[in-house]
Formats: sequence, structure tokens, C-alpha cells
Amino acid sequence: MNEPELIAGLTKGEGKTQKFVYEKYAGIMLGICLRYLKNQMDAEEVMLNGMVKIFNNVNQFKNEGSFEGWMKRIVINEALAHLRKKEPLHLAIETDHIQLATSEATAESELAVEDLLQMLHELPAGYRTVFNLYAIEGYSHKEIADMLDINEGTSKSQLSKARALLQKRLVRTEISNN
Amino acid sequence: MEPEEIDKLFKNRLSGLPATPSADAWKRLQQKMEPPKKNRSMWIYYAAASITLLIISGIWFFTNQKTLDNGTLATINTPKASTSKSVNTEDPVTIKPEEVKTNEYQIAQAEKVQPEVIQNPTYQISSAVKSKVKTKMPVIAKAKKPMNMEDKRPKDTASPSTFSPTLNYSAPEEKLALVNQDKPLTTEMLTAGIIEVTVKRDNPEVEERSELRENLARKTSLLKNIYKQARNLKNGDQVELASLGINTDKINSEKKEIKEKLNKVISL
Repeated sequence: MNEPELIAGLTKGEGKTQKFVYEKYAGIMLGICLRYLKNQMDAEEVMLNGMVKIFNNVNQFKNEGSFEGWMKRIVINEALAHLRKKEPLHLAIETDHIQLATSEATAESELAVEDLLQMLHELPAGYRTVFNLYAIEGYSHKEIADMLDINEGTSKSQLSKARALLQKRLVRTEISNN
Repeated sequence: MEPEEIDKLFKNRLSGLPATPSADAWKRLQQKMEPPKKNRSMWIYYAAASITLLIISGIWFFTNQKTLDNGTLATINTPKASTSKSVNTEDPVTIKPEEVKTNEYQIAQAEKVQPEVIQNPTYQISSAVKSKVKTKMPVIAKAKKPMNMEDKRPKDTASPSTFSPTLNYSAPEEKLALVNQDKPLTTEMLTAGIIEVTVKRDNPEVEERSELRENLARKTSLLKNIYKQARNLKNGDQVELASLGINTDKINSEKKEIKEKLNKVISL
């Protein structure tokens, strides 16, 4: 089934198509949610809510960009809404003086996905969100500022602080690994 | 490590993060999908219920109105009928004696020439008038003006019938008889006409007005009652439907009526 067929099926509310879309995208969407939310159950709940929204609002998809991108955006928005409710973003959080590690983190391959995810989860919610949106999702600072209702400067500072913290953790894990 | 490298590292490893939702996730999704449907169906039920309520109240209201209208019509009709009846009864009564009287006058003035013969035609005339008046009364009841027309007709028919006997039996006093007959006939007609008109115009209108007033009073009281009950409903007080004339018996009977009507329609 190609994208137009999927959209047509979903607009008709076909259970078959919904099941197909779920099986194809649930994993990806859950992965996205897991990056934003620490709790696995919360992530799954948000993913399911996002899927429900996707199924119920297919008619709002305007063929601007890919359908998968649209679905991801919905799930991300769902995750952000959940974060605002459960984990206040604390975007103006003042962090301790971040010292950038000087050592080279070369053992990238040795780092497991779980470790990286763990590092992300250890970030304050605001840092994590901006880092996710900018570094992984690829949104611009302007878009992030719109999505989170903050100004671009805040987004930039949050990103740099997130990066610094992550680098610190990376170095630490490297040391402990070594 | 450069900031971009950190971004890259996380993006490469985490963008396609493999994650498997729990086994019951699809079921939960379906459960989540159901509520809006349920809401919709419930909404439809509410809408249907309110629409049926509206229809029922509408039917009740109109049937009630119809019965009220029927009542007024019936009461209006009955006085009309009564007036027409009274006219029927009065007309021959008034005409009869007058005719008899006129004939008596005629007889008196015609020096009692064969009174029996003269009397007979008058009876005939009165019976003819009776029959004619009777047959034409419904028309009179409906329209007021035709009265005079009909009255003229019996006059025309009456005059020749009285002419013939006088011509036959009292030749020398033709003129007198003619004059006498013409005069009383016209007076007869005038008096008869006046009686009819006055009887008609006065009674039904007064009755109609009083009934209209009664209707208005009934309707206003009903409206006031409805308003009162609506206020009770708003305030959360008890609503007395019985005071609005809504009884289970009435509703049931109306139900039956509606059913019968529907059956008739279906059978048609």
C-alpha cells in the first residue's frame, strides 16, 4: 500500500488500513516518544493517543510534505503536550557551570542505543525537548520556538546546554567503559 | 567532540529507534478509537430523542388546537343551526298567521265570497312557502342576502295562486282583491324579512364573540401554566404536567389515535 492509498483508507475509516498503518508506524512513533519521555508506559500511551489523532484527523492532512512527516509531527506534539502536563519543561532552568570535556569520544560504536537514550532521559525535560527537536527531528530554532512558545534565543541556549551536558556524560561513560 | 558530532551521534543512533509497543497496545488503541464513536452515537440518540419529543409535543399541541377549533366551530355551528331552525319554525309560523290574516282581510274586504275556496289556496301557498323555505333554508343560513331573493320568489308564486281563485270566484271584486293581496303580501314580506335578518345578525355574532373570548382565556391560561411549569423546571421544582392537561390517559389515547392514523395512512 502506498501513501495515497493509506490516506484514502484512513479517511474512509477502514479498520484494515488503520491496522496496517499501526503495524508499520507504531514502532517508529513509539521510538520518537521514548526520546521525549522517560517512562515507557507514558511513551506508549502518548503514541497511542497520537495514532488516534492521526486516524481521526486524516482529512486535515493537506499533502504538504510526506504523510509520515505529518504523522511524526502529530506524535511529537502529543509528546510535548504530555511533557507540559506531567514534566514541566523548566525551559529557563539555570544549570551549573558546564565544563566541556576535552577528551575525544571516539568509542561511538561502543555506546549502545540504550545508553544514549538513558543520557537523553537524564537531561532536564527542557534541554531534552529542544535537543530532540533540533538535533534528531531536524527542526529549526524558529520552528522550535513556535512549537514550545519560547523565543529563538531560549531555544539556542537550551540546545547548547543540552549538548554540553550530553558531552559530559559521553566522556564519563567512556571513562567508565575504559 | 564538536557539538555537531554529538547531534550526529544521537541522530544516527536514535532517529530510527527500534521500539516495539506492548502486545495489548493495538487493543488499547481500538478502545481509544471507540469513545468518539460512542459519543457520536450518544449524540445521535439525544438528537433523536429531542426530535421525537418535539414531534410529540407538536402533535399534541396541534391536536389540542384542533379540538379547541372544533369546539368553537361546533358551538358556532349549533347556534347557526338553531337560528336556521328557529327561522324555519318561525317563518312558517309568522307567515302563516299573517297570510291567514291577510286572507281574512281579503275575505273581509271581498265581502266573504266563498271563503273556503280562498282559504284553501292560502294553505297551499303556506305549504308551498313552507316547502320552499325549508328547502332553501340551508342556503339562507349560509348567506344572508339570498333571503330576500327567496322571499320574492314565494311572493311571485303566491300572488298568481291567489289571483286565480279570486279571478274565478269573485270577478267583480278583482281590483280590491288585487290591491288587498298585494299590500298584505308586501307587508308580509317586509315583516318576515325583518324578522329573519334580526334573528340572524344578533345571536350568532354575540355567541361567536363570547366563544372567542373563552378560547382566548383558555389559551392564555394554558400558556401561563406552561410558562409556570417551565419556570419550575428551570428552578428545579416539581413540574406538574397534569395541570397542563397532560395525563397518561390523554397521552395514551392520543397515542392510539396517532397509531390509528398511521395505520390508515399505511393502509392507504
